Amino acid sequence: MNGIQVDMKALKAGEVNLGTSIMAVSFDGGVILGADSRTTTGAFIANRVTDKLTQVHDTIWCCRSGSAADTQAVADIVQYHLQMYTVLNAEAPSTRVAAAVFQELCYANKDMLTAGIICAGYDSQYGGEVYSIPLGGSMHKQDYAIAGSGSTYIYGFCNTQYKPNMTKEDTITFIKSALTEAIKWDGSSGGVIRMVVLTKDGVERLIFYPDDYQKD
Amino acid sequence: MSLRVFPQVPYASSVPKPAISSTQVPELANHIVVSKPPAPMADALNMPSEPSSHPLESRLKNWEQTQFDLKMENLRRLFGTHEPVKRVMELEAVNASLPLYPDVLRRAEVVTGNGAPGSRTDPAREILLGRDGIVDWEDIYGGMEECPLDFHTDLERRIKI
Amino acid sequence: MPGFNFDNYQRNNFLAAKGYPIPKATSTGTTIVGCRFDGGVVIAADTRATEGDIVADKNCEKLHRISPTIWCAGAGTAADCEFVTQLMSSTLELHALSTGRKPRVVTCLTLLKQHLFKYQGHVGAYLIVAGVDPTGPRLFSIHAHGSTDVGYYLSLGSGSMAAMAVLETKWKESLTKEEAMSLCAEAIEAGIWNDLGSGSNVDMCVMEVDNPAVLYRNYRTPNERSTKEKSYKFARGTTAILKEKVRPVVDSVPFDIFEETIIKDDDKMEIDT
Repeated sequence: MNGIQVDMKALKAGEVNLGTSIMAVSFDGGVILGADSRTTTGAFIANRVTDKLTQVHDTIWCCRSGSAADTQAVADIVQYHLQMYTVLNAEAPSTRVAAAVFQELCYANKDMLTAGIICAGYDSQYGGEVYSIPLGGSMHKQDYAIAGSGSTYIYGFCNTQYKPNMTKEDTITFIKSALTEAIKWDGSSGGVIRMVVLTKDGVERLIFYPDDYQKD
Repeated sequence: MSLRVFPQVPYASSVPKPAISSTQVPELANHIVVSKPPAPMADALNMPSEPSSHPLESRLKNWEQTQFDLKMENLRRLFGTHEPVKRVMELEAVNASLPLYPDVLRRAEVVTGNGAPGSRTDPAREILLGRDGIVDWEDIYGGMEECPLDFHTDLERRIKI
Repeated sequence: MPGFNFDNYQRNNFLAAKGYPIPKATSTGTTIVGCRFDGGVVIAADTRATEGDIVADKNCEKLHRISPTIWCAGAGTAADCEFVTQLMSSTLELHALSTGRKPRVVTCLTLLKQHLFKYQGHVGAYLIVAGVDPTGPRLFSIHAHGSTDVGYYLSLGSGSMAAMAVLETKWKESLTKEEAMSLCAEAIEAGIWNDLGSGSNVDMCVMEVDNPAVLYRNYRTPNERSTKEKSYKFARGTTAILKEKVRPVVDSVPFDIFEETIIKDDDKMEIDT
């Protein structure tokens, strides 16, 4: 491994895959994470109501894409780190700290991991923030981030539809319509749309069923 | 120092191929002159320390060490350099006092390098490593290396080859 | 050392490169399901063990006890399921003793997923872990690579599609214990009838809050052998004896025979169980 040419191994045989559409969007009062709910093993849907939005701290969450086992392991480790951080510093970590831990883990273990992660969170100092950590282990602070196999279909949509400082309701509608398109075109995305709204008021979970989001 | 969680797979992903034109014949190593046996193909692919290249083998072999290193690195970041230094010194003190233990408590044969974890250990080490609450294969199937399963190994051992 | 042996890895690769076929690893066909109900959780499994296309055991046990209130159903490599649950059983007991608290299902789940993740899927255990702990009834599934799922109803194994079809049609919110039991039994039966790798009987384990877990071994036996309508025994003397010759097996007996008793015992024969 020379650090430049990384042999990104395909998933190990029989591994559970999060062929995914995930996104996180920062808005006026916070940040919203969204994801589909399909996990696949080959052509078989292993779980149609998966929760790909994982809490790593009170108001810091992440969207997971890639290998289910790898991303769960990484999220567990980050969660442990942030708990440790909170205890020692007697204050909650900022979203940037959480994202930095994600990045360092993904970078240091990039030859062993298939993990694309979006880390998003709310803290009183910086408000809602979105960090994208794609496969190689780099970190990008963005206004909004999309990732996963289904995201390829919605780059144009998001680019035109996203407006800075949207309201919460507009952001929810934006994520819902973006993920609806991703689910429509991507075979390995599907199921329900899950969202997590992180604001100063804490955590709010939303769920949208196919009959609901597919009608328009 | 990095947050390495999963041991690296130590084999190279490619073998350098010398550039030769169609008129050239690649030279074969003259083993009589060099007086060295031909290197097996595996050596070109693997690190010298890894005779086999199954990815799981090195992962399992280096798992405990990697977890230990990670833990020490985390402690260093959280508390400062003194913390991992203290921990390793404690481990080494325990290792050094091992011969003084009564036989019942002495189960440690595997002790690696800098006092980092071997898997089968005595209670003091297990407590220091935080393994006193964990049961693993090694704790149940210890001592299996003494009874080889296949005939050839058995015979080799018996006539001391 | 216990565990994996990599001695023949390169030899096998060499043989494979020479064109010798690698023996195919066959995963055992299985149907296992789990379902939550009000105040508890139930898991069920079929009882067929296969070796390739041969039924190795018609009535094997696929439900394993991890702690008195935490049980798990295993699919995938039978031995891996068995030993990984035994290992977790020991660890959990040790953990419970050292903390002085009742073991939790999430603890078991985390231990299992971390263990399996270490082996990258080479320990081929696909498990449905269920149980009740101080936090209530819990139901999870784990794949061999170490990923976990939560659910109200889950199925795993080669018959999981058939079982899931039943669960998806008949599952509803807030089931009673009896409804959950018959739903799980029906899902397993779907696996038994529609999946080649699954068969024989339905085993079930019900874990209820404040009640000890109950294992229903062979809860349903839809494949009982009926008695044959006719006897197919050949009557004595069907085969004609043409010639009879008795030879002593040992020429010179090193000791004298004082007494020889021959007990006539036609139909009794020792069978290893």
